[in-house]
Amino acid sequence: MRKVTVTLLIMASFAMGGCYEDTDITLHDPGVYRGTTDPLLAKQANPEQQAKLAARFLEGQSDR
Amino acid sequence: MARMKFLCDAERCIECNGCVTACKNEHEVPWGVNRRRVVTLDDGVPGEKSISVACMHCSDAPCAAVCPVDCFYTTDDGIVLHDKDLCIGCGYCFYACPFGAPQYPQKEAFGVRGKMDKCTFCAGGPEEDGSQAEFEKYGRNRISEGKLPLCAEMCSTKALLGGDGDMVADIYRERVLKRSSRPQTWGWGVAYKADS
Repeated sequence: MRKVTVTLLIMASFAMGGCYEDTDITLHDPGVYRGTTDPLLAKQANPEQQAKLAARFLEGQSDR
Repeated sequence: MARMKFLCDAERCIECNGCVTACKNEHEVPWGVNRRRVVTLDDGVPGEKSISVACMHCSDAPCAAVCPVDCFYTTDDGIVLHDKDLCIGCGYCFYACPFGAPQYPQKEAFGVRGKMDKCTFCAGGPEEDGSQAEFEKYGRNRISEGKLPLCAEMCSTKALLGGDGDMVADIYRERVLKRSSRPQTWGWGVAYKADS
């Protein structure tokens, strides 16, 4: 009788283990870009270009 | 390095749709695709609010995270762009985007959608700057010309701002201080109205 109980308990623990559900959210990180390099990236790294865009913003979009 | 952002001041937007028209005209956007749209809450009811929505160029862009062919890239100043030569039109980015920014020009048999199209912050794509190929695929590259997105530049009420996020935030902060209250457009009172 004891053997049957132990066997049933072991089987039950395996069965319950099968019901386990991982509740962690699956996060996807973006992969590495596989296309051609945009020439704009080099242009935007230039401080003069950044200053030009900042000046343009102040000129056209700031409140009067 | 600037971090480019759009911000629409819903207290100022008058739903003129000038930004939508300017975008379509500047980039010759195909029929059926609107890179920018104006959404109005409580349309026709006194106190209605409008907001102009396009790609928000997310810092942690979900479209880029789900793309199976890794066709997205983010420039150093935070503009999210993509390569149409790699895009397979699967539509994953469309489902992932909370703003409905990615759109498709075709609707054919077997779910053929064509290459994904979205707002580029007027920064074109990975083709040569200002080239015909770039214009045909992505529209005009105003950023490389030292200009900012046309939708924001031509906004008549200056509701839509587009540029360095710090400068945009400064302007908006000043406006909120002048109004002496936070914007009443969003919040619990709007989401859960007393009569609903």
